[in-house]
Amino acid sequence: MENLTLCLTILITGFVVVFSVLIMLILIIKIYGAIVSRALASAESRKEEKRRAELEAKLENNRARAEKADALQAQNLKSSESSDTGAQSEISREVVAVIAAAVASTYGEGKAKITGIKRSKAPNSRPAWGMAGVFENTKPF
Amino acid sequence: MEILNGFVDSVVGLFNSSGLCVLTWQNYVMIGISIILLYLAIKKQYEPLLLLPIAFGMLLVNLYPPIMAAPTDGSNGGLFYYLYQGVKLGIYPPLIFLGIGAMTDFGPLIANPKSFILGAAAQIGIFITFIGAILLGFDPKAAGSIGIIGGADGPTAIFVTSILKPEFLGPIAVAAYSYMALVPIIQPPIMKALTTKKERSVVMKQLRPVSKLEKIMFPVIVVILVAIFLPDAAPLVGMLMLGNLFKESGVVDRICKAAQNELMNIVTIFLGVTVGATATGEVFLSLDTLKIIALGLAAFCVGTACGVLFGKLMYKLTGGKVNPLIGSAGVSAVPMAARVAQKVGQKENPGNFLLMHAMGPNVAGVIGSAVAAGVLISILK
Repeated sequence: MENLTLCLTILITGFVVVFSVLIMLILIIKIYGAIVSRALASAESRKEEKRRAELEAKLENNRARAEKADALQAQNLKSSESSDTGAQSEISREVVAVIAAAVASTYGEGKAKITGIKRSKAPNSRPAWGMAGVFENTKPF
Repeated sequence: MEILNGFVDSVVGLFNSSGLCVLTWQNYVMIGISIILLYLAIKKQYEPLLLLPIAFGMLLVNLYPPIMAAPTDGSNGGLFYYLYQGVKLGIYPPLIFLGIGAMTDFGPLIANPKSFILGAAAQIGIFITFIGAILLGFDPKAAGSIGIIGGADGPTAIFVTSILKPEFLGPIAVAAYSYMALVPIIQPPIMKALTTKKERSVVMKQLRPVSKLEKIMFPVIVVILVAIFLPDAAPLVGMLMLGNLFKESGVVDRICKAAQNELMNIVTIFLGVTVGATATGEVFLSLDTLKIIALGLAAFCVGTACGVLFGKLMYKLTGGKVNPLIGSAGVSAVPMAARVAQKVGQKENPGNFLLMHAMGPNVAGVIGSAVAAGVLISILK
C-alpha cells in the first residue's frame, strides 16, 4: 500500500511538474520570441527607411546613366535572342547579368558569348541549389 | 642454497599475489563481457567515445581490483578511487552537460517551442518504469535510478544514480549507454508500429529563422525558470545553459572551444573508465543487473512510444502538419534519436528532411530528462 502511494505520487508529480515546466517554457519562448521579432522588425524598418532615402538620392544622380546602360543591354539581348523567346522573357536582367558573369569567370572575358538562356524544368518543387544544399547538410546523418 | 630459497620464495610470493590466485570466476566473466563491449565499441562503433573507456575500466578493475580500493592507514588507495570521486560527488555529469550545452543549437526548439511537449512526453517512460521497478522488488531509490535510464541521457542517469543509489552505478551506466548506442535498432520498429505510412510521409513546414538575441536570451530564461522551480535540477540545467551561453554569446570563443573539446574529452575519459570500474564481478553478476537491463529497455521503449503517440496527437490537432516520427526524438540521445527520425521519415519520402524538426524535441528531451531527474531527486533523496 505504501509502495502504491509512492508510485502514484511519483507518477503524478513527475508528469505534472515536467509538463508544467516545459509548457511554461513554451509560453515564455513564444512571448519573448514575439517581442524580440517585433523589436527587430521595427529596428529593421527604421534602418530600411534611412537606407532607402540615401539610395533614392544616389539613384537620382545615376538615373540618366542607368537608362543609357539599359538601352544598350536591351539592344544586345535582342540581337542574341534564341528560338525560345517565351522562356527568355521570364528571366530578369539581373539573372542574365549573373549568368554572364559566371560564364565570363569560367571561360575568360570575351572568350564566350551567350546566345540564349532557357529555364530548366526541375522535377522537384525544391530548387536544385536548395536541394543540393539540404543533401550536403544532411549527408553526415 | 640460500639464494635458491630466496628465489623460490619470491616466485611463490609473486604467484600468490598474481591474478591467477586472487581473481574469482566472476572477475573472469566480467573480463569476457568487457572484451565483448570493446569489440562493440571498436568494430561496431556503438557509442565508442563512452563505451570504449567504460569497457576498459571494467577490464582493468576485474584484472586488478585494488585500482578502485579506498585509502587505508597503510596504503594510498587506487588511482580509480580518486578519479571516481568526480562521479561520486556529482561533478562529472554537470561538466559533461557544460560541453553538451556548448555544442547544442537550441534554434530548432526556439523556432518551434511546441517541441517541448514531445520532449516532455518521452519522459513518461521514466515514471512508468519506476512503477515497474517497485513491482520487481527494488527499493524506491533504486527504482528512481533505474527509471531515469528511460531519459536516454547517460550523464543524467549517472547523476541521479550517484545521489540515490551509488552501488547500482555500474549496471545503470552500462545499460543507459548500451541502449543509447542501440537507438537505431530499438526505435524504428516502435515508430513504424505506431504510425501509418501517411503520417510518416508528412513534410513539415520550414522552421522560421531565429535571431541571435533570442538564442542568447534562451539559456538565461531556462536557467532562471528551472532553478527557481526545481533547484535539484539546477546543477545539470545550469551547466547545460552556461555552455550554451558561451556558444551563443560569441564573446568567449576560447572558453567555448575548451568546453566543447578539451574539458569534455577529459571528463569523458575519467567518467567512462571510473563508471566501468564500478562494474566488478561481485556487483555486476547478479539477478538485479538482469532486472536493471530489462527495465532499462522497457523504459526506453515506453519513452519512445509516448513521444510518438504525442506526436500523433499533435498531428491530429494541427490537421496533419506535424510528422509524428519527430516525437521519438523526445528521448534525449542527442543527436542519434533525431537521426533515426530523419532516416525513418526519409524511407517513406526521400525528399523529406525531418532532421532539424526532430532536433527540437531532441534537445527538449535533454531539458525534460534533467527536470525529471530533479523531480526524482527531490522526492526520493
